[in-house]
Order: sequence, then C-alpha cells, then structure tokens
Amino acid sequence: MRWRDTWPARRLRLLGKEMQARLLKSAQLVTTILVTLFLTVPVALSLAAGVTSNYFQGLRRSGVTLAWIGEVWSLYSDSILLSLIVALSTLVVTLIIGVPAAYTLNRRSSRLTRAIEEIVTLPLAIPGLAISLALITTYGGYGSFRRSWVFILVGHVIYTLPFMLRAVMAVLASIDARTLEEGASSLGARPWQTFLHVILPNAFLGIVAGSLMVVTLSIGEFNLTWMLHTPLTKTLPVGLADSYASMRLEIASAYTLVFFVMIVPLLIGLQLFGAIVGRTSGSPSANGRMGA
Amino acid sequence: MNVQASKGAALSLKGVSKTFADGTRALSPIDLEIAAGEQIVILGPSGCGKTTLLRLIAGLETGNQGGKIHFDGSDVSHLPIERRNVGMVFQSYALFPNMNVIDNVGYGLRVRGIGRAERQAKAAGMLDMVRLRDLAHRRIDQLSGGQKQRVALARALAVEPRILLLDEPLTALDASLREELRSEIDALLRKLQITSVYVTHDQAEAMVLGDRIVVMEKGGVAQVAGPQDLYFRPATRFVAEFIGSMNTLAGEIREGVFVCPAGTYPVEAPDSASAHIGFRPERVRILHGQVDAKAFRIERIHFVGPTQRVLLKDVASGLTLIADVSNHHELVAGEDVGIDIDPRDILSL
Repeated sequence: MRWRDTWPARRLRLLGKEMQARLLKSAQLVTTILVTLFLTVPVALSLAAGVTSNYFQGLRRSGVTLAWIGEVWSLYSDSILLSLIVALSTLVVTLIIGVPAAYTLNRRSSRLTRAIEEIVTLPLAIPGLAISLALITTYGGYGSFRRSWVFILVGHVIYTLPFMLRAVMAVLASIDARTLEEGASSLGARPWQTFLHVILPNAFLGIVAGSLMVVTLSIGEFNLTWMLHTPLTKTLPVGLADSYASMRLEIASAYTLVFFVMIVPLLIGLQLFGAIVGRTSGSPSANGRMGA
Repeated sequence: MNVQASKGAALSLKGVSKTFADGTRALSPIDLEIAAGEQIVILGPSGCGKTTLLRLIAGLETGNQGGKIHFDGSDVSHLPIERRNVGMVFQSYALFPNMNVIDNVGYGLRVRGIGRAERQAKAAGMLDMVRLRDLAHRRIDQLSGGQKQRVALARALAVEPRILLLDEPLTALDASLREELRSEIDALLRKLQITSVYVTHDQAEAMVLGDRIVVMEKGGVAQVAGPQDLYFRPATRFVAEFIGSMNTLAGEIREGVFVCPAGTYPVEAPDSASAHIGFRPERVRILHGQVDAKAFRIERIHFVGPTQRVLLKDVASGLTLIADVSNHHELVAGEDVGIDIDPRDILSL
C-alpha cells in the first residue's frame, strides 16, 4: 500500500522538477529575446526610417526610397570625408606617438614612467567637454589653427592615445618584450633592428587591436568634437546631431544608415586584417591572447 | 660545418661592482680572471648577485664607476651588449616567436649582414650540432622546453661568440631532462673549447660543468676553486655548508684539540674560544658491536640507494650528526653506536 502511495508522488515530484527546468529555460529564452528586441528594434526602425518616403505615413503606405540617403550624401559628404580623414590621421599620430611610448614605458619601469602612464590615461576620466574647453581657452586665439580640422585631430589624439598605449603595453608585457630584446641584442642587433625585427612583429596584434579601438573611437567621437568643430569642420557625429536638430526625421535616419554602413565594414575589415596578418606572421601565442 | 672556429676570449674583471639606482648594493667589487676556453660556473643561492655579475659581463647592466671588464685584454666596460660579441642563453629561452627555428638560429648572422643562403647553411650546421636539424622549419611554440633551450644554444653559438654566457639555462626544465641536457651542454662546450660562464643555483650542475666554480654569497665571492678543492677544502663555513652536506660543530680549540659538548677532536688550528669544525657525512665511520664509547644513538635511517643516510644523536648533548654509509651496513634505528672520524677529514672552519 505504501509503495503505491509513494510511487506516483515521487513521479510527480520528478515531473515537477523537469517541468521547472524546462520552464526556467523558456523564461530565459523569452527574456533574452525581449532584451535583444528592446535593443535592436530601435536600430531597425531607425534604419528603416531612413529609406521611408514619409515616416508619418509609414513604410508600407509611402514606400521605399533612397532619396534621403542621396540628400544626406549631398548635404554631409564633406563631414563623412572629414571624419575618415580625422580618424586615419588620429591613427597615424597615435601610432607614431603611442607605439614608441609604450615600448619605452615597458622598457624602463620607474616611478617616473608610471606617473607618465597615469597622466596619459587621465583623459579617459576627464569629460570630453573639459578637455575641449581647455584646448579652446589655450589655443582658441590661434585663428587658423582653431578653424582647421587639425584642431579636432588634437582633441582626438588626446582622447584616443591611452587606448593605443594600453593595448600596446599589454601585448609587450605578454610577449615578455624585455627578454626578447635582450636576446636580440645579445646576438648583435642594434636597438632599431631589435625593434623592427623582433618587437614590432611580435607586438603586431596588440597594435592592430589598439588601431581598431582608435579608429572606431575617433569616428564615433561626439563630446569633444562638438565643442571643437566649426561650421566648416563638421565630422560624422556632429553632422548627425545637426541633422537631428534641424532636418526631417527621415534625413537623420538616413544619416544613421550611412554611418552604420560605413563603420560596420570598417570594423569587420580591421578585424579580418588583424586575424589574417596574425596567422601569416606566425605568432599564434599572441593570436590566442588577443583573439579572446 | 665550420663550428670549431672560435676558441673564445680570456675574460678579466677588475673591481667590478654594482649598486642599483635605489641604493641596493648588488655586488661588492669583484676581481676575476678567466682563461680562454675555460668553463666557469657561478654558483650561489638566489639573491647572491650571480645573475647581476653575468649581466655585467654580458653588457646588459652597467657597473659602478671604476670597474673594468676586459675580453682578451681589450676594455669592453663601456660597450653595450650588441657590440661585445657574446652569446647568451636565457632561462626563459628568449626565442623569437615570429621566426621559425632556423631563422632564430640565423638571426645573429642576419644582423651581421650575412646573406640568406650562407646563414641558412651555417644555421643548419648549428642545428645538426644540437641534433635538431629535422625541426628547422618548426615554429617556436611547437617545441618542447628542452628543444627550445637547444635552439637557444645553437643560436647563441652561431655567431661564434668570444664568450658564451648561460643564465640558469636548465632551471625551467624537468629534472630528468635537465640532467640529459646538462651533459649535452658540457660535451658541446668542451668540444668547442669556448670560454663560458654558466650561472646556476644547483650545485650538482656546478660540479659537473665547472672547470672552476665561483661560489658567491651576499654580493661577494666566497671562493673560486675547482670542484674537488671546493668540496675538500672549502674556504669558509658558507662554502662548506653550501657545497654538499657538512656536519658543523661549534666549540673551542685548546692546544690543538677541538672541544665541544659532543666530544673532542684533534685539529690543526690555533687556539680559539669560538671555533667551528666540519666533516663530511661520508667520512663518518659508524662503530657498532664491541665498542666502549657508544655515545650516539641512531635516530633514523634514510635508505637512498647507493648509500644510506644515518641521523645520529649524541645522547648526552642532544646534538645531531649525519653519516652516509654504504648500503650493506646493517643498522637499525634506536641502536647505540660510536663514531670515528679520521683527523685528516676534519676541517677547521
């Protein structure tokens, strides 16, 4: 009798457990889908708005058009071009300053180098507005400098340099650059040869990671740039704000679409480049570390 | 292959010392003469300054003012490492992950402006020498630790250095591999007759590899001697205790007799109120059976294999000694025994 009583009860309990697990799984799935939708629907709507003839009538009634994108291009192609120029220039400058600086900071570890590292990292914690304000109060008087895009470049370099520096320093530490360097110089390599033949190839993936970061940050940077720009030196995000403020919603949305179409292939391209070079340069150890 | 070319330079250190930027004294002034082709081992516990000394010879560190380093009579004190033409083998290998094995070995020739074909041929010869020809086109991360260190050795020797410097090259390897590679390195260095300075904290390595061993203690040289001298005639108590095992007794010397709670031993030393004597465990003879003076009790016996190590306790004073005796001695723990030491085996420390 007792057996017959307990058996279905246990069975039920087991079933209950199974059900619970299945329920939990479903709940997790639903939550994930909801959160994902919450984040992606605005993107999709915004992108869709950019190709809608009349947003207030809706996509289905008014139809699809590329006119707004054309309009964005005619209105803001200069900003788009300038953004690319600024981003690439920022990359060049941060490479020229950041890589040797990281190399030196990694080589000589002293109180001074640690202080320099901290100071260079400081712009991360300071609002972009404050940095730009400092630049404007200091150099605003030099008219031609103030009016040129180089002024924006300076701000971007200050803002992105720590990212390059950190990325390169991390990879130098992970490849034990100091020992590699001692190995190379014991074989008779001059410092420049050591740097070119040994340090640079082995630190390459870190440098690519840093570059990726710098280019993306520079293209998307608004805070600083908004303060530093002039009507003739507008970058992509500044133009975006401008279009949001003063144009039709469709144009602003088309702008987003252009931005998206530009930045995504750029990011993928840089990633692929890093992966391919990493494979061919034969430093899988660094690859494993950076790939994560 | 043309690998027997260089015989190596004579090395001379005069007043070489090093104080770090933070004021730490790493090395007291050191004088050392090393003959061309000699195999020198610098031995000492960690923090004794042995690696600093090696890095000074290499040119990776700059010594204090006044110290002079000569290779074959020419002053290299102010030359950076890349202009000293030394070969260096590191504990962590320092191989270049962006180059394969043969390119690593040929790198020193590459920076000397030697053409690709010639340096490949030379590098291949070096790889033959360390029996790694088959792995010439492997990537560095596909090698085992022992293979890596042999590549590093081939790379260091490829440039025909005046002096080969080895900084604890076997420390990162397994015990069995360490012994194998140790004999391989020894055979290679003897064949090439290159001047070499080998840093280690492992006395077994030092005894095998060193024509002479420089024992270092707290930034100074405690003794420079061949392995046998070091073992049988240690200059200081530190050396005596660092090399091999040593029984050390504290007491006083009165009229040629050392007196301590565990007994009296004749020594050849002037009278002293505070003296130390020492003797090697293998010089202790254990007397059992019909012996009058059974002052010691066997505490424990560790059977090592070729020998057995016996821990002896002086019943009266509580003092412990160790004795290494042959493995067919039949001893049991708890047994009371006497000991005998030949006066010639007693060192005054």
